[in-house]
Amino acid sequence: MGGYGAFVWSAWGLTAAVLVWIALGARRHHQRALEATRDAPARRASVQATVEEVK
Amino acid sequence: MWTWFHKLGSPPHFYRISGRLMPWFAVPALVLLALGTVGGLWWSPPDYQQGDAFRIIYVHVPAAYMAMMVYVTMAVAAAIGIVWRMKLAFASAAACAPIGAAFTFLALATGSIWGRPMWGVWWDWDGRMTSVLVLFFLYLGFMALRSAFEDPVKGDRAAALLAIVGVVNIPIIKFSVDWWNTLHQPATLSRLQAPAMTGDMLAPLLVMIVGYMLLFGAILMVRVRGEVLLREQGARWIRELSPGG
Amino acid sequence: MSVTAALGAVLRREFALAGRRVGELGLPLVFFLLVATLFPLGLMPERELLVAIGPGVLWVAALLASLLALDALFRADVDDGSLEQLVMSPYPLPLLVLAKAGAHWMLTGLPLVVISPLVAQAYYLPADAAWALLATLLIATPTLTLLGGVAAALTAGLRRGAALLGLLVLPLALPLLVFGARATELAAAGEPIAGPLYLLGAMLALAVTLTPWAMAAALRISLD
Repeated sequence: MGGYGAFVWSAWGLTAAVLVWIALGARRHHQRALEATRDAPARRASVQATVEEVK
Repeated sequence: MWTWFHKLGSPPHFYRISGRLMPWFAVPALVLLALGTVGGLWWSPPDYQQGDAFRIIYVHVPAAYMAMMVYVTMAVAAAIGIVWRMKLAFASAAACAPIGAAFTFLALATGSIWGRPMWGVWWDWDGRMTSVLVLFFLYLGFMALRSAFEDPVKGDRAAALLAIVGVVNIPIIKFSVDWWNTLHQPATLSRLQAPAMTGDMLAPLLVMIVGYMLLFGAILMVRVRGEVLLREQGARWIRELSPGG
Repeated sequence: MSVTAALGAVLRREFALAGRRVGELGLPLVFFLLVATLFPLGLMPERELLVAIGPGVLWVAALLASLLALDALFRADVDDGSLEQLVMSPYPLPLLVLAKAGAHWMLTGLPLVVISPLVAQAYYLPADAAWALLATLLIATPTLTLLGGVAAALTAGLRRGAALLGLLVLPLALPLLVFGARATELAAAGEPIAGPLYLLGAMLALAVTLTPWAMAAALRISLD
């Protein structure tokens, strides 16, 4: 790399790291949203149960 | 055309379609990025002026290009959301911001790494670098404003308005920074000449740009899917999703 | 009531309210003077240095002082509910907020503009540069108030909106700083400054025509 190796490789490495990071971040975001929506009906059900108990 | 638009705009339909489409963006993106990397690092000849340092162009220019393209995409989505009150448009704008900020950061960081061997400094108050820095702050402002609202619907609309104001302002910012830069051209630093690109140098760059765009498309889809789920919590179609998602 | 009468009422109300809290009104002005005092203390009170940094420092100080005042533009009216009355009134909201922003500028921006040539003397700026500072501030601070008004309207409903304001306004205000400070510098070097002045004027015209609508839309979102 004609003396510029460190610069070229660090630019590439940083790019790869950030791109992988945002890709995994998007995946995590989606998965967390999926879990939140899975939990949502369950949470509502438990609230309704307590109302039933009060009655 | 309109029925197609409406159909795509419906969250369940989008969710289904995007899940199936995503790999068609992700796989070609990975192939092109790998191809562009090999082409850029090994196949293309070194520049006669900058030697091998110019190879940074293959990660720098696509990032800078995407930084701007994603902002415009975000502003268009925001405008569609404001005008037609379309949930999917707001979801897209919200999903664009962190990706765009990441590309902007990459453009700045790789530009800085390129600047060190070429100009002798990590940062130069160059017109282009400065306006990309401002773009980075615009992304941060969008995300900060959106998350500051407790009511996500309000946050979406407020941030969308900010994105539109920002996109009107960007040409003015760009112009002002260029004007400022021509007044203060530092004479001691040798300017970075846009290398006259030959075909074998240009090809990997184009491959990389297309690769970045496809990667953006794939990541955007995943994020929009997440945003759609968050916005549609408790809707029947979500409860009917197969466990595989 | 006609639209002009409604505008007059808005203006009268702003001035009456301002008259009751004069101390608060002077705050941005004092802040401007304070920041301008800090730089010679932090650096060196040498004549050449102050002349060199003066235009930039004074412009940045003016920018920050205006930013400080911006949060007050809608905050009190949101808290006491009068802004909601304004939004629901039958008069065009963009015009009403334009009047509000205009009153705000006269009360916080104009004093700053008037005092700026005096502060320029403390930085040993030549007379031409002092006048250039006055002229650029006179044209640019209304634009700043209007641009900042959009951000203030967006954050009006937020409890900690003031902290966000800087992040939203400063990148958008960058062109004003560039042309304003540079024009002052050019004037100090004895060069013509018509170019940047025209550009600042064009930005003011653009801001007057576009931002009232953005402000109105932002307020509707905030109060929704």
